[in-house]
Amino acid sequence: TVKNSTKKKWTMYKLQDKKSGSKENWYSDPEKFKRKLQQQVDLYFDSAASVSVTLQDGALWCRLYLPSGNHFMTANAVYLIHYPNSHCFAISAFKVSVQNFLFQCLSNLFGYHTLTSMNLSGLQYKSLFQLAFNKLGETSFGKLSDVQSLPFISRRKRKAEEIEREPNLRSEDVAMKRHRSLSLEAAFGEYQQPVLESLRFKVEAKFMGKKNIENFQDNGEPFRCCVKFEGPSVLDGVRNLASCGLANEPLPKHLLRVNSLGTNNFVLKSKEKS
Amino acid sequence: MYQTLIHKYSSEYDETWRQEKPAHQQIDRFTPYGRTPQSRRISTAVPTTRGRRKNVHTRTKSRSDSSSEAEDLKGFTNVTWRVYKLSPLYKFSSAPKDLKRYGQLLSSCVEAANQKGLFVENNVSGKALFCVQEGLKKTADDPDAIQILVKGKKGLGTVDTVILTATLCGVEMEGDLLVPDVKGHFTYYPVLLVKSTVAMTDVLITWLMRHFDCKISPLVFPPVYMAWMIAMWSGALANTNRKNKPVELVYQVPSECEGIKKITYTIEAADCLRVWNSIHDSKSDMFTEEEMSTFISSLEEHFYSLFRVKLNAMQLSCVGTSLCYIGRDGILKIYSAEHVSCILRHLTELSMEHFSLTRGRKSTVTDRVVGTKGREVCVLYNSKLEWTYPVSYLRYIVMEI
Repeated sequence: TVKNSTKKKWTMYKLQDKKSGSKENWYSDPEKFKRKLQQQVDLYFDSAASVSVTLQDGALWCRLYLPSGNHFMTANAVYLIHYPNSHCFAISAFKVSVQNFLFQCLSNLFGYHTLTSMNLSGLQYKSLFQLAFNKLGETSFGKLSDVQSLPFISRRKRKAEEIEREPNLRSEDVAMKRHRSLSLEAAFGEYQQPVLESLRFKVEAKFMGKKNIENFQDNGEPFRCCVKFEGPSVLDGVRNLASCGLANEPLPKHLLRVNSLGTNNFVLKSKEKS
Repeated sequence: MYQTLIHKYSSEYDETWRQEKPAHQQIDRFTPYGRTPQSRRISTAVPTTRGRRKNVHTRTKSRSDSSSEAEDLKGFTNVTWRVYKLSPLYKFSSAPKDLKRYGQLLSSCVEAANQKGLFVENNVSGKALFCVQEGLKKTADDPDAIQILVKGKKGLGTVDTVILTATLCGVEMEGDLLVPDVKGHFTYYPVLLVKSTVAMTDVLITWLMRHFDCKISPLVFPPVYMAWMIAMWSGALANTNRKNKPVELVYQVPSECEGIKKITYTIEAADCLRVWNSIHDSKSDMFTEEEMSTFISSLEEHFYSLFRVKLNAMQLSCVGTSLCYIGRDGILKIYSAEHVSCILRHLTELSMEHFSLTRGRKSTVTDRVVGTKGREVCVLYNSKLEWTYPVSYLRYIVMEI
């Protein structure tokens, strides 16, 4: 799973409401983490449940096997990734029937009351952690220099856009292209975007397409729709929509601020309704 | 003198070229170097749709009770079909003894293909059955709809399963495109629906083309066709107690924009219907192209106001309504048994438009049969290569020309 992490869909959860009296239970030693986790799992699951933990790339990788029935099923295996000292973790798909018990184990393990879904999921766990971290802000790390050295923070700069210059051709919109390139760089930054496979918006807003409709039946009800952007790297794709001319600038904030909002499922509502 | 020289050389060249070929080998071949026509008609790769379309009623003109009809047609629902269009079938009969014979012939063809190793799952033994499908013959012009089933055992299985399901049909065919003189020899089924693996579908299509001298090709749905379907069917179940599926438009992002492959725009059916009712007069029986384009552009405009992304610069690849889901490459999935007839009626209309476009043109003295391609005949219409017809259909074309 460590080598094929992109084969699984990971969902991010954040830890909230620290339990009073409990110490910060941050474990960077995989053996200690395994012992603590196994103790919790033994309380809530059969003795047949097993735990294995490894440290890879600065993160603790856990595999929990929570059996149901006598036969081995891959669906009973749950994987978890946690960076020591961070207030979030990534978990693979699990059965709804085990959710309460599993979360209770993790709550006791980390020392927090609440495990809240961040509505952030995808295949690239490093990008998910980067987005989650951007949302959660400062962690126990403290200083900016420590933050930048985290293993999941992307330090690769985007490949510069090349404006083709043919010697015999004169382009009339070079200035416009340059202006667009600068504004996109200001909006998206010069580094590569985290990789997200989908971006979903649930919209309940006033219908804005009635320019050509004479007698639109506006009964005050919102126009409900869902929009989903899908692709290998949606955040880069949103930027490229603007650079290709398929989108006009300035792009709306809910497309520009995905990086800092730490989720890929949004609800947009009209201001009167929100 | 220069111009005279050129004329002289060109005429000499023509003479030489003609003299080189023996007389019995001088056949007219299609070349792109024909005489430049004095006028041109811009023809699209796909026939343009008509500017108006008839309203598709939720209840079609049916002789039978709609509930019993829905039961008959339930097998069409919740199945992913591939849609094909056909040219008229030569000497096809729907008599029971002929259908039985066709079944035997197709069975032996499937067996032969199995022995050649065409199927991924080996030992696919199949028995083919042809029967008349009830519930799809709506008018006197409609041919009897034919259902084709291939049953067999897959691999090492012991239970018979249906390996292929296909239906030949034409629903509410308005007018007959076949002239009376050839009607006795040809049967026209505009639509073929197939549900099976690619290999088995190829076997069926090849057999039909060889046995009945017809041409079968996928019925593709360009974005304008899908826009029509959205306009016609988005609120079809609005007046019933059933919950409407949302209207789904899937846009394909151009490959130049890396990172995003598609954008899915899903709208609640009731809200979509509200927009449509603001554009279209519900009392009128006909939809116009202007109404359809206003409808789509207003939805795209709303999207633009939210995201500033130009959907009109992208192409529709799939659309979904309460009644059905349609993909550009001829994929169809019907959700409502009550509306199978009206959906097939629309597909019949689209297929017949393709056929009448190639058949209904006025021929001129420049039109001629220019050669054969296997069992097909290539015909020039107005110095432009058009539809290729099977040899048996040549009689029909000669009568036209």
